[in-house]
Amino acid sequence: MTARETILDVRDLKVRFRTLDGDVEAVKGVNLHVGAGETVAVVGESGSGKSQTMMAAMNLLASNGEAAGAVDYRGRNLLGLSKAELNTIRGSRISMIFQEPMTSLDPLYTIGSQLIEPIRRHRGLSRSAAHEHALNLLRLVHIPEPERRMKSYPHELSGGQRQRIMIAMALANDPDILIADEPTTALDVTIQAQILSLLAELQSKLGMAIVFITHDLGIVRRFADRVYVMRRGEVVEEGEAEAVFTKPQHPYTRMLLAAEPTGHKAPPPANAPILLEGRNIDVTFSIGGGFLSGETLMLRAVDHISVRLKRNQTIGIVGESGSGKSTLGRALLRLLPSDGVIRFDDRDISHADVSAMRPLRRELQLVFQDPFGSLSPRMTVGQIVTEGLLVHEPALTAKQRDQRAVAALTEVGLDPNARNRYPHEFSGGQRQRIAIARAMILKPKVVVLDEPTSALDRSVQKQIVDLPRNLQADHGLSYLFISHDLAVVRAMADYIIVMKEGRIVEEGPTEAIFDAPRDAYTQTLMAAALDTARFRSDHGSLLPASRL
Amino acid sequence: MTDAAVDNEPAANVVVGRSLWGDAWARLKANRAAMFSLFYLGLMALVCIAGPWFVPHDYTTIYSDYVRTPPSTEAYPKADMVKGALDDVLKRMRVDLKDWKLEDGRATITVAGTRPIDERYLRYVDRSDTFDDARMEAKSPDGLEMTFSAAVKQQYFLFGTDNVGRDLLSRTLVAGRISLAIGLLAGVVAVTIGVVYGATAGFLGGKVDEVMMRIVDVLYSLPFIFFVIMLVVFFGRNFVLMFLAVGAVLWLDMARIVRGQALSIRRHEYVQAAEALGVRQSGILKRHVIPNLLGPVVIYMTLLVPHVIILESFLSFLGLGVQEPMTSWGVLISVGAHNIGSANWMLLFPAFFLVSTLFALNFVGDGLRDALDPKDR
Repeated sequence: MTARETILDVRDLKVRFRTLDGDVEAVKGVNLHVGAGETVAVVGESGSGKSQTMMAAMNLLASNGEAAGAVDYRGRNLLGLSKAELNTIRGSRISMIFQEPMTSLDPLYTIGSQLIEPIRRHRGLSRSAAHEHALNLLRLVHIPEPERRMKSYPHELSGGQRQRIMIAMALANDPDILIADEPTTALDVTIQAQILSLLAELQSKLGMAIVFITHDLGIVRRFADRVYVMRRGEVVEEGEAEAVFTKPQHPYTRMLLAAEPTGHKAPPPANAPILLEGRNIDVTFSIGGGFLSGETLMLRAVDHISVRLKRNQTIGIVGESGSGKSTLGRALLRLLPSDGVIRFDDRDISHADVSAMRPLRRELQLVFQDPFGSLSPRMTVGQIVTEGLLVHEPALTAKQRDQRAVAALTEVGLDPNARNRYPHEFSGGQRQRIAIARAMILKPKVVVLDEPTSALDRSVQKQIVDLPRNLQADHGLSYLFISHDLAVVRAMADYIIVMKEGRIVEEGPTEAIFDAPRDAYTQTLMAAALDTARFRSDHGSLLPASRL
Repeated sequence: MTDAAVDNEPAANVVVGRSLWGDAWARLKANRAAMFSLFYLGLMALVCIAGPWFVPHDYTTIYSDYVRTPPSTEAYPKADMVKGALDDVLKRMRVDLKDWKLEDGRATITVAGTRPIDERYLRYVDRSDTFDDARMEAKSPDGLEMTFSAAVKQQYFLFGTDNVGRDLLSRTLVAGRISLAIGLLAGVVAVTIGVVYGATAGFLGGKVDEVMMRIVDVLYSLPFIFFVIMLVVFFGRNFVLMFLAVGAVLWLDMARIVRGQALSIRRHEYVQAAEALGVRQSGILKRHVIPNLLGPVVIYMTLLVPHVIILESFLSFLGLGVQEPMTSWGVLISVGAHNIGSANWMLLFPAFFLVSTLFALNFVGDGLRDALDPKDR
């Protein structure tokens, strides 16, 4: 690799936030540099300060934050610039794309007007020239029917298309540097792969530098030239991407690289009894309807699906968002009305009402995806964990409940002292442990794990995957493991169901599915998630970027 | 990722838990304007409740000698006022002044009449607001001349007096009692009805929600003033009715806010988690919905109280509110506005009390909103 001209040079950058609990130092003296046309990845887990480093460089810190040090862009220190001077660089020379494509576009304006405005402002073009330029940008990011899309509103586009629009906006003024802050985290794996190959393609066409902020090492390996690994506000390792991956120096990097969930689950004996069975399950949602609001639209989220869960088995349900996998899990627990037959422990529960289901609830438990939303913010951890006992073992005294809470929290690997604290004082992984403790304290037989790891960092994911596995071994539990993350599913499940648009496209034992996927959709999914080929080094292997 | 949110979280090794309320309180304490306002409100409430017992004048007492007396920190009567008051008294006694002098707060007065002067006429002196403790000193043999002495009463009117000579300080404080009581009580009435109604509608949802919210819409369309005038016409002017009228109208906003909150809380995953545990509806309402509703309710309450105080002032200004001799800040301001040219203090003092209280309430409301706003966390 030839020496490139350094265009962005961050020296000894410190960021601190003033909070009620005193100052918090989020970034503690970071040095990094970006050469022209280079792809630099900043990797770290949440809280490592990777985003704040770039936010500070762009002067976009929250109001209680302050930055010290130097951020030189082509010889000018960005930290000292006035707002007006900064605006000549921000958005034109250095531009950013963010994680959340759903909220970064204004829902009230068409795509066209949101693209044209900044072009006119920064380049002083006429309206028609700006329109032409915007169209070119849409073609550049492979938006189908760009003429029509110019008149569309953001809600008419899918998440992947919105992220393409965001990229088009960021490229509008031919930036030197594109800062991409977790641009694919909120997207499905197949879309994620398309966005990444789009970025790689654009870089080879336009030659800008990309600063790629991410927690996902898999992406980095395929994408970046150089890598900075950050932890607790410091850069712990830097170097050429291949070198960091093949010969990691710092133990933290090694830990991150090893964080991919490993192991596999042996299938239960063939004669294991069937615990939960669903036959021909349909779930239909009605949209609209009601008094004076016109026709009701029926949406079939789950379409004739049959599932048989044996004792001690883990079934992985895989699919992209909107495939109906969460709906299926909830329908099987009778938390959603559905058609078809559901049997639990040789009893037909398809028509059991709320009070008939109540005694069964302790045996059928659910762990949610979002550990931030599934714990009531006004209750202590102890109250949250023991709430089920109030229902199912009302005879227990407060003291006995407390002892059970201590036991449950210890079992999931948390300090029992935690029971007097509130959920917002815990990290995502700890909260997910609390949610698991809440389900496990009732000693259930079947647990539906609805994407329990997807909101968590990789290294935390590994622990959270290990936890249910150990509990399964100890208590003989059966799991329905719902996830879009194939690596996690592979480690957890002994049987896999692949869902798309409410239907099962393929099912079978885990290794069979991973080794020889038969269905075309399953193959795409596998390729997108597990392919470790580099995007950039070999452009022949680019995924077709226009497919959405 | 949510780096900032994670960074702002307290260090994970603190063992004592801090609830969201504790967190909010810490935030509120850091907000100087809100804390000062809170302190000011407490002081205002204390002064209005206890103050009238320590002011020497009753809020109903009329001092006919001191009509529209300007506020002063010095004692009344002033030297030049004694003569005027004396003339008034002597006119009532139907005697002429021969000679008078003022020494050590006692006036010695010699009067003469065309007919013999009855000693009992001295009652007129005592009855005056200026003099006290009238004593006969000497009388001429024919009874046509009398010398008597009387103490000059030292009175303080820090806020001046009103149109009929009542002490404005005690009236302002008593008016504060009424205004704050109406604000608080009507606020509580509105919040109670609103929270119960809104939480029920939002939590039950579906058709029940539709019907309940349409009823709210119908009530919204009734003009408030028309409603109050109707009540006054049918039931006469009544203090309790005021609470009812104000509370009955203001709970509508509250019900809408609470219903929206309840609807969104019902969809939160922690409520679904409770359902998956088999928790009954009453348990979900008690443990999950209501505690999570309280934040916005508390905020709205602090903004509702000034609203009620202003409504009461408005009604009293129109003559539909509290009646003489009882008074409220709205009434005092209304009277003061009529006398703005000749006696501006009658407007300034009550207006200052009302405005500063409303400001303080708004600051506290803003502070609470910032303190409880999860976005800032």
